[in-house]
Amino acid sequence: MKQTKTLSAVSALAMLAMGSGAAQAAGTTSGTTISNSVSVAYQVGGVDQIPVTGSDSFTIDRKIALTIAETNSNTTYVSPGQVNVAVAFSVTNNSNTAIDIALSATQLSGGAAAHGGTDNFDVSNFALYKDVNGNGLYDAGTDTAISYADELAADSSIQVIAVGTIGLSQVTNDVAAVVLTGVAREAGSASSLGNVITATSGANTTAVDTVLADASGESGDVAYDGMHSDMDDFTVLAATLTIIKTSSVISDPVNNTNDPKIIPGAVVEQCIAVSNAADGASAESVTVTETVPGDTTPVLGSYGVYEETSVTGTGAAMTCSNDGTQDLSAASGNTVTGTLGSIAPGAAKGMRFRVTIQ
Amino acid sequence: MKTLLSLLAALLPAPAVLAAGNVALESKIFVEKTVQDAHGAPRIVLQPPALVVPGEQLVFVLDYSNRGNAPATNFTVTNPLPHDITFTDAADAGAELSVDGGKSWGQLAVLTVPGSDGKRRAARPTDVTHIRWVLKQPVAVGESGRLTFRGTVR
Repeated sequence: MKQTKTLSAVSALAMLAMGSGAAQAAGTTSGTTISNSVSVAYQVGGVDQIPVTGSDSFTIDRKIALTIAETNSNTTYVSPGQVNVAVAFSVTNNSNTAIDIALSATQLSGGAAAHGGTDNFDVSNFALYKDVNGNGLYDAGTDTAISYADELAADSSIQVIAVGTIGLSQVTNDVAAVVLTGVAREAGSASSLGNVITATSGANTTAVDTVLADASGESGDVAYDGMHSDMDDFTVLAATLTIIKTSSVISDPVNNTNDPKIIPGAVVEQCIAVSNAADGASAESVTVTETVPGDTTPVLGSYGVYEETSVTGTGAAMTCSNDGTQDLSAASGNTVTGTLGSIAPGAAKGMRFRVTIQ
Repeated sequence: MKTLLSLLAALLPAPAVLAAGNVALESKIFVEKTVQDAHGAPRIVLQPPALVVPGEQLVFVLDYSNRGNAPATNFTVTNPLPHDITFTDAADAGAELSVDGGKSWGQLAVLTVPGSDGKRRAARPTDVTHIRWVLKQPVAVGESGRLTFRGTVR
């Protein structure tokens, strides 16, 4: 705030606006008595008189506010079949006294999700845990099931995670939205959930009154209802692999490499190209296994398998780029194996090997 | 108030005999609320402090009167700011502020406090610890007046 003119009237409306935010720090503890004492010193006939004092006091009432908020503002990307996926929420007591907060996590049934998509599936094994180590991930044996925040002190917060399993049949851009709702409950009895806190009805009293000061949250959660809610979501990123197999004749026993034909004894090079669709997930630990036909024999001892780190062409025209490294031990009997590792979205790899026509 | 003070000061010479002082002082606290009037326009009203939660804007009203039979001079009203209340502003510029527990006084613009970096920084309203008014004119017999300032519940 600027220092000029601080003594002149600061806009009363502006000051009120500053004070009415629901998510501000909890402030003075309810039940506190604030007493204002004023004194006047004066003289009569040039002689100091006994100072006169005056005072007035009031009691701070109870302001109940809580905030549920997803801890990052992004969707959580998951893979089909992934277990124990988690979205994290912070649960904060903005009241000026300790409260319990009852917690319930629900899954949206259709409708707009938190981060732009539309909810179209539910996760299974859905459960709510206290994120004991605060890493935003589910850690079995560390994170504990939770249904309410117990005796949460003013201005303090905990982190919870909504955990579930993604179905194997989900595809890229499927979205599962999750809403966490917290309801203010009376504190005072540890390890037990207190009653719902309600606003003091009727005329104000000189005792400690209760005011509900929470903000509005998700659909159906209005301001000043003693509850707050927020939404987060899971978005599926699947890897979609495409495999293209091509072959070319390298040589035959008659023509050698000069316009070779596929005759017995000819050497044919085979390429298996694997591409991963863009906008999906990275495919990990990709292994291609090929059993060569019974009337061919892998050329292994001298040629082996080349694991290609890129391909030329796209779609059906993909073929090996001959940039691979030779692997002489990648075969067993009639089976050749290419260990391609990770294929990023939009990228492709391949394996190249040779067979002899019997 | 100021015109009244100067008028009375001119009328009353210093008393010839000492009279016992009898100054009354009363502190009242109100909550400042913005309500809508019949036409939907915002209107600021003062209410008794029945319902007060953090962030509430309060108005502190200090009423004084001279019920004695002699003028009161060097009239100094001092109000330490209650704990849990931050200073907002004073209604009239005659108020002096202290940010060091009442040791030194002045307008906020000239006051400084130790900053977190060891250097002194300009004082803010939240640094105010005391507020006082030193009336330049005597308070005449039967005269009363009102001083106000505003604060916010932490």
